[in-house]
Formats: sequence, C-alpha cells, structure tokens
Amino acid sequence: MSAPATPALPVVTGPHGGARDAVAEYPVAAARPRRGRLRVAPVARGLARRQPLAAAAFVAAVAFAAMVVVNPVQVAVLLAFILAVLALSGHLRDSLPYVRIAMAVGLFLAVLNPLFSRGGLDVLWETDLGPMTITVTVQGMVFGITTAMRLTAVILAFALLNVALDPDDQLGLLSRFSFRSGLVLSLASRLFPVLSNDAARIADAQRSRGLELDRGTRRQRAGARVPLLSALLTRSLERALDVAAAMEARGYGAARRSRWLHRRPWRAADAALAGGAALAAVAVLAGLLAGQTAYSFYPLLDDPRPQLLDAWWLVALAGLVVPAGIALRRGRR
Amino acid sequence: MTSIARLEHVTYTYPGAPHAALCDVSLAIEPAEVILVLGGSGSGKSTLLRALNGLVPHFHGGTFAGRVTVDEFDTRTARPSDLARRVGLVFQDPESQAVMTTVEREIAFGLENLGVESTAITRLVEEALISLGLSRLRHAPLKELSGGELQKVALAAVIAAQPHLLLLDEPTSQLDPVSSEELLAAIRRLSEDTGATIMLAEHRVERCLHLATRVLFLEDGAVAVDATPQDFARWAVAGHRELLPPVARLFAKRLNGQAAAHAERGRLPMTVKDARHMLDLVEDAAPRRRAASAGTEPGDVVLEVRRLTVGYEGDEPLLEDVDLRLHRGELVALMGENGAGKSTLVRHFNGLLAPLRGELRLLGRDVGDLSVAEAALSCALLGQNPNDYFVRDTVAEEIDFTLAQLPVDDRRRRELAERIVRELDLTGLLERDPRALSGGERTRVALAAVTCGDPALVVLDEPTRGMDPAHKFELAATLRRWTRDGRCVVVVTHDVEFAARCASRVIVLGDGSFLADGPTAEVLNGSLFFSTQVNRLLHHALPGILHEDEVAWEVSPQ
Amino acid sequence: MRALHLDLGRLTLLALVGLAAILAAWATLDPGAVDWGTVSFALVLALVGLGIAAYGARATAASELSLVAALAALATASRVLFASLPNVKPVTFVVLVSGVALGSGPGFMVGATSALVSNLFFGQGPWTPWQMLAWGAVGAAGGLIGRGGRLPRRWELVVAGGLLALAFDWFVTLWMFLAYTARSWPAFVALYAQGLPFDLAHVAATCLFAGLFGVQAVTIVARFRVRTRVTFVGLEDAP
Repeated sequence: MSAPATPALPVVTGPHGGARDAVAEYPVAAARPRRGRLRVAPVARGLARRQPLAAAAFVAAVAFAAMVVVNPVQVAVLLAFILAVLALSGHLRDSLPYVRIAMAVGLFLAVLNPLFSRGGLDVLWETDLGPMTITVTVQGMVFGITTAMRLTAVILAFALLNVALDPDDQLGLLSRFSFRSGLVLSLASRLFPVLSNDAARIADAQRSRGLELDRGTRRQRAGARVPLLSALLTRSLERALDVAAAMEARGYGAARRSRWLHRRPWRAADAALAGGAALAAVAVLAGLLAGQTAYSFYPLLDDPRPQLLDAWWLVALAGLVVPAGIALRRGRR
Repeated sequence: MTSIARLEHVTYTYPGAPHAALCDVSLAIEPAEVILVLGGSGSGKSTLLRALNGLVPHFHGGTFAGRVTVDEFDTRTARPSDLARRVGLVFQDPESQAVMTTVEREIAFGLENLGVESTAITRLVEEALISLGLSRLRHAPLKELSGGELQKVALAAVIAAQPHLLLLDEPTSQLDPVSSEELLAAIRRLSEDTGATIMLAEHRVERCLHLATRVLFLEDGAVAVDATPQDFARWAVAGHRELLPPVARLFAKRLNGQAAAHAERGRLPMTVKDARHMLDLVEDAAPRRRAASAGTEPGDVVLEVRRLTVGYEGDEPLLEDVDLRLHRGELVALMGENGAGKSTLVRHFNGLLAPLRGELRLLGRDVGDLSVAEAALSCALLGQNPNDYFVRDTVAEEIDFTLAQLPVDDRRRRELAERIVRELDLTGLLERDPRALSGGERTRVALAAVTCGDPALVVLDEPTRGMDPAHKFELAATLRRWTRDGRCVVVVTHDVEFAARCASRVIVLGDGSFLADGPTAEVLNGSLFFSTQVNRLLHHALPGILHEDEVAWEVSPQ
Repeated sequence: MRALHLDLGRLTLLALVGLAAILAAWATLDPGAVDWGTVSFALVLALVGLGIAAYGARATAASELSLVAALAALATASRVLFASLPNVKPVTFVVLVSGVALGSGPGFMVGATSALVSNLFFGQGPWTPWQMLAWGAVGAAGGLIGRGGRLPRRWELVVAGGLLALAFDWFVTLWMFLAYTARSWPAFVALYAQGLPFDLAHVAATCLFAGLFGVQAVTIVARFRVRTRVTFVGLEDAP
C-alpha cells in the first residue's frame, strides 16, 4: 500500500477552489523529468494502516461531529482529539497547509463574527459606522472564537482524510460507490499529470517560437495563453480517444464484469473503527434531532458544563476515542 | 494448421477520409508467426492491426467491406470486447494507454473486464509482473514511470489476458534505444517461450528484421510485399533501400548490376554478426574507402558556453562546469544515455531553463538577459513532440503566426514565408491541417514554424522518433543544407545512424561532463555503444567509416 | 462480506439521501432550532451523490467516459498554463464549454469530476462537495445553452460564463456563511466582500476566455463527441 500523499507543492486551497493557490512557478517543477527514480514510499503509520473504508467512516463521523457540535468546550475537546490523532499518526507536519488555511479563515471569522453579531449583553466596545452600530460583546467574542474552532476542527478532519487515504484509496472507495463514475475519476486522475506535462511542454514550445508569454500586462499574458489552451484542448481530446480505444481493446464493455478484491482482510481494529464511527454518528444525529446539541451564546452564554454529561456526547466520544486508541497503537497491524 | 486470423478482401475507409486506408487486403496469419509490418506513415499499418481486434470498424466507424476472422469470430458481428480475450493490442503512446493509476490495478483492469475471477486475477497479475521484470514496480503510480516502463506495463496488461494473437503498433517509437531493446527482447522471449503469434508494426528495421519470420510491406493501404525477410530484402534492394538495415545496404551495393545471385552469395545480412560471417565468405570483392569530400571550415561562434552547471535545485547537477563553443556551419549531434542531461542542456540555449552556474552567450548576448521569445530570434528549438507547436488550423497560418511575432515589416515576412516553404518542401501542404498530417510531414511543419525567422542556431530534440526511414534521409539532407548555408544545427538524438549520416561533430554527454567532443568520424569510430552497424563491421579494416556511402566494393583481381 | 461490498454503493447513497431527507424535514418543521450548516452540507452531499450515481447508472461508451475524464483533467491541468497568473482559473470556462458541447449529463460529470480530481491532488476539504455541486451545475447549465446541438453565439457564452462564475463563487461561500457566521446581513456583506477580488478575477477570466475562445472550443469538443459510429458494412465480396 503506497504511502499517504502529501500535497506536492506548497498549495493552500480554499473554498474558492484554489483562488489562493500558491503554486510554484511551473517551468521548474514540470521540466524536472521524474523518470525512473521512484521515491521510496515511507511506511504507512497510524490511521493509514487501517482499511480505507474503516478510516473513511471514522473521518466522516469525526467531521459530522465537528459540524454539529456548538458548545465551546465540546468543540475544544473535539479539536484536541483530532490534533492528537494527527500527531499520533505522525502526520502533524503534513497537515500544516490545512492548519495554515484553517487559521487564516478562522482568524477572519473570529474577527468578523464579534463585529457583526448582535444580542450579547456584556458589551466591551461600541461604535457607530454610518447606518450600522458595531457592538462587540463578550458573547460575540466567544461566538467568534468558537466558530473559528469549529471550522478548524472540520478542516482538520479533512486533513485526516487526506492523511489516512492516499489518492489511490480514495479512488478505490469512490469506484465502489459507482463503478463507472469511479472509472471516470480514475481516468481523470491518470490523465491529469499527463496533461499537466503537456501544458508545460506546449507553453515551452510556443515560447521557443517567439510567442511572448512572460512579459506584458496581466491581460496580455492571459490572452497570449489562449492559443495554448486551444492546443491543450485538442491534445487532451486526442488523448481521450486513444485511451478509449485502449479501453475497448482491453475488453471494456463486455457484458459480465468482475471486481478484483485484493484488500487485506479486515482486522479487529478495522471493525472497531468502523463500528465506533457508526455508533458515534448515530449518537450525534440523535442528539441533533433531540435538540440537545444546541447552545446559545445570546443574550448570555449558556453554562457549557451540563452538556458535557449528555448521553449522546458521551456515547459519541466513546465511539470515536476508543477505536482510535486501538487503531493508533503501535506494533503489528 | 488452421490460421489464427484471416483477412479477405478487406477495404476500409475512415469516416470522412478521402482515400481508403486499406485496399483489398487479403492475408492469412498462421500460429507462432512473428510478422513485421512495415510501411510509411499513412500506409495503413495501424489500420491493419486495428482491423484484427475489432476497433476497426466498431470504434472508428467508417466504411468496411470484406471480412476479418479471428479464431472463429467474424469482426462484423463480434465487438472489440469479445475479441479482447483472443487479441491483444499494445499502442504507440505510452502515456495514452493506461486507465488506472497504479501498475497492478492497470494490469487487473483488462482481466476484470473479461470477468476473470478475483483469485485468478491476483495470480495472473503476479505472473505478468514477473515475466516482464516489473515486480518491484507493483504498487508504483504510473505517473512516476518512464516511457519504457509504461510500455512494459502495457505489454504486461495485454499478456495477462493470455491472447492468441499479440499486436503491437509501433511500441518503441517513443522510446530510447535501451528501453526499445528491452521491449523487443521481451517480445522475442514471449514468442519463443509461449509460441504466441505476434504482429509488430515498426520503423526501426535494423532492430527487428532478424526477429521476424515474415515481412509485410504496406503501401497506400495495399500489401506490396508479403515474404520472408530475405526475400523482402532482395525486393527492397530494387527500389527501397532505406528499408534495409545498414549492413544489408552495404552488401546490396555488391549486388549492383548482378541478377539476384543464388542463395549463399546473394544473401543479405540482417545483423552485424551475419555480416561478419558473410564478409569472410565473400571472395570476389572487398570493401574499400571511397574518396571523402572535404569538410567545411567552421565559421563564427554562434553560442558560447562558459563554466556551465546544469541541473535542478536539490538534485545532483547533471553537468558541471562545462565549456562549449558552437560555430556556424557545424552540425552537432548531442548523444548520451537517457537522463544524462541532453534535453536539459539544450533548453538553456534559448533560455527556457536557467543554469545553476555559468553563462551562455548567444551571438554575443547573455541569454540570461533575454526572454525566451527574444532568444527565439536567434535560436530555434524544436521539441520532441511536433504537435506542441500547432495552434492554428492550416500550415500556412502556423507559419504566419510565428512570423507575426517577428519585429520586421510585412515584405520581409512574406520573403521569409516563401523561403521556408521552399526549403522544407511544404507547398503542397499549405492548406492542410497540421494535425492531420503524417509523422514526417508534421515534423517538417513544426520545424518550419520554429525556423521561419531565419535563426542562426537551430536545435532539434529527438526529431527522428517514430519517423520512417525515407523521411529520416530527407531530414538529414535538409539539415546538411542548412549548415552549408551558414546556420549551426544541433541535434539531440539517440539515433546513431542518423547522426553518422549528417553530423559533422559529435558530443557525448555522461557522468556530469562531455565524455567526447570531436569530428563524427573520430567519436563514433570503434565505439562500444555509440557506433553504427557499418562501423562495427569494418572499423578494424577501415577505421573512420560510418555508413555504406563511404564504402565501395572493389572487385578483387582473380 | 461479498454482498456487503456489492451493495456498498447503494447503501451509502441510501444513507446520504436518508440523512438529507431527515434533516430537511426537520428544517421545515422547526426552522428556528435547525443547524443550517449541517443541513445544507447534507443536502449538497446527497445531491452530488445522486448526480454521480445517476450518471454511473447509464451505460456509457468508453469514448464518452474518457472524453468526460479528459475534460475534467484538462480543467485542472489548464491551471498549469496560468500558474504565473494567480486567480486566473480556466476551470469554469472548460466546464461550461464541456456542458455546451456534450450535454447536461456529461457536463455535470465534468464539473463534479474536476473538483474531485483537483482536490485529490491538492487535498480534500469540506468545500469539496460544494465545488462539485457548483461546477456540476455550471456544466449542466451549459447543457441547457447547447440544447439540441446548437452552437451558441459568443455573447451568450460570455454572459453565461460571467453569471455562472459569479454564482459559483456565491455558492461555495454560502456554506461558510450558513455554518460559521451569525447569519446577519452585515456578516453576509463582510464575508463576500473579502472574497471580492478573487471573485472578480474569476469572472473576468471566464468572460475573457469565453469571448476569445468560447465558440471555437465548443466546436472542437463537439467534433470529438462520440462520432457517428454507424459502420456501413459493404457488400461482402465472396471469394
């Protein structure tokens, strides 16, 4: 099983699908021929050694809990738990990009919410801004910090997903969900690095014939790349046809299809993980529907302590923490 | 012995195509044959192979007449997925064949399609990996494999299904010589160990003619020759010498003027080993050196490189502290094993890559000060894939597109356009879509697009990949003409025969420096790896001889 | 265990849709108490799952599958071309063109797959389902524009591109607003304002591409669409 993938470039994605990309200048990255020198895959640790399905269920339960829970103390506990799992899996450093973006967005939320929410009674600071009145209250601040923590917890839960499941595992899971869609995804994942290299080569080729791509205004530079986009489009469609011919030549479309099951057999740790996740998810859902997850910040902060003893919370914690402890135990699988 | 496959009067036209791709082809393929399919680009080799596994006509559409039977299946009624059990096809482009992201999944994909049971798949995947020496790559992601490894994976995936008929469509055309040899060796092993019937379409005649039991030569969609390799060679002597291996061409010169002699003395050698054996047998003539034409004096310096260190950040440098001077009138062949840094080096000439240390001066100006587009006025670089250059719909527009970037007036632009069209013989192709052209034509058009601005230095990176022999000869002639006109041409190539034919100077890269740098006749003479067939045969007797044009047979006095 | 594997897909889809239904019902019955962040996430996830399962249920030919995959890969890989121009994202443009040329179903798939592939390589996040649905919708909308195989005019593509890019940005920010703010108007304005430079760049880039290259791109992709695979098998010439 190959190691969990880490983002190869110092990328910071975000809700806008990469609007905040910090992709390294491509010619250096793409021109390097990564040929014939296989990187030695590091040994999978912690969560990555579990069955992908179990690990995915676990992460889903954690993310679900992180989304639902509002009580500041409960949120803090969850966040600490996620960080602990990341650390014990040895992937805290790999998840730094996620931490960074979580902190960036979280900071924004921690500032935004106190400024623009109302209803708290303990006023810290008040000012008038045109038609609006800005009131910063203690309740607002706690709300802001709590939402920042909640978002961080969710983002880090997804970091956990990327750490526990390498792209190959993710593809495998998705193809069990739907074979053809999984095949499309697999094909797209296969073609993406190929087309990226094509893109870099096409850009270099056009530069070599005198097309100026690197100087001028942004609009000029963007416009100069349109013919490249056209060439890349045609290239990718040609590749699509070649791949389709190869698929048919390998028998795709025949009536009866089998599936190669070559997973390791499920161990107790895997079952515990999956079972605990299911239990936790059900507990959280029950708590949500019963209204017990609610916590109000306004007009006064609720006492966070009673909710810590709620049945749903305790069951959910047990369902998450215990199997995680088993799963992260060092030693034999 | 019943045939494995049979074609009967097959005529096929691709949809929208003006001419038929296959014209009235009739063939029978017997078990355990190794058939070499030769022919220029567009002659129908690929179509012939695809007709045998059902892609033609079911995948491509078009008009199909005649009948193709494989085992008991008629391809009119059987779809490619039915035939996949019996026929395997390995395609030309290593990057566009794979569907999955790791090696073992890729091999398993075909087996899953055929409904093979899971435990059987595990075993077949394992055995396919072992038989092609890919075991250590089992979990490797495909994006990290080299072209040669990818083609081996493709072959493994195909043989895992244990087909009766194995088809290979120019599988080595995108590969370097070492990987090609490995692949061809694997194919030969398959043939010998399993008795599989193999049909191989190839351009590199000298590498596979001796493997074949039968040769098919296609011309304009019809089978022009269907014979044993020896009979094919005798036919080729008459009008298609470029299809012969160099040693065969050498011995063919001896047959000039004679009728096809009887068996032993009329035989043509396919390998150097054959040729050496025959040299001993030949009593009535011996090879002699022909008077060589005087070389041209090199002109002004076009590119000067000082203390250059080349490589990628964080890795071992590919070249350290090298000096180089390139002059007008030189045709330099840059050779070296894969990964030695040849392509990386030449990309410094026009500024695509920046050196780690050192400086380059192009016509006196520091390359670091120029943008790539500015450097392109003096240094044209043609990459390995001509398709990367095509952004317009016709050849004429491509040339105009490049010329539009030049800081010259319209009259000069027209002059340059006419000149390049003349030089590269593109008059008939001006209104065609560059992507629809054959391999050799595409390289010519891409070359025109890059050099129409009349640069002093022209660099070509592996221009002969996948090129048929006739076009190679043409390209060699064009490049020599350009050097005579005063340009400097650098060709990065693995093709020693091609380099021997047109280069005046050879540089061999390796181990961080230039292992050799000198006139072609010196560097390629007596070399262990970088030498031509003719040189291997004759370098003791006639040192410095590289190809058969330099040799004449002198009839010994009886 | 075998049976479980076979039904995993349907099981997951059922669970997703079930969860979304429960939450949606709860939201309508008791809007005050509901956690909009969770409900919206579940809804989006269920819709995406349904869309993907629906596409996968069709028996599509290899050439359409690989075309969709290649366009999705292209959408992400084209970012390489614009690496030195941050915020110029051609993804929305490519997805739109795919939808126009291939139809709503494949267009949705191109959009959803683009989001998945790009996040497969650059890291999944909670915004993944939102991007998948949003870009999927862009592709589906493209299908409506190109309905019946018509070739749209340039201005249609520019306007559609701009509006869809705007809608995309609005949609993916929506979850943040619903889940992590006090859901007041000022918060709404502030949240969207901070994303404005990126949104504007996105809209500008999409309109630029659509204007310079849109119609041509649709023509190119349409040409590669599953060709008429009608084989006119001629009369057999019996030997």
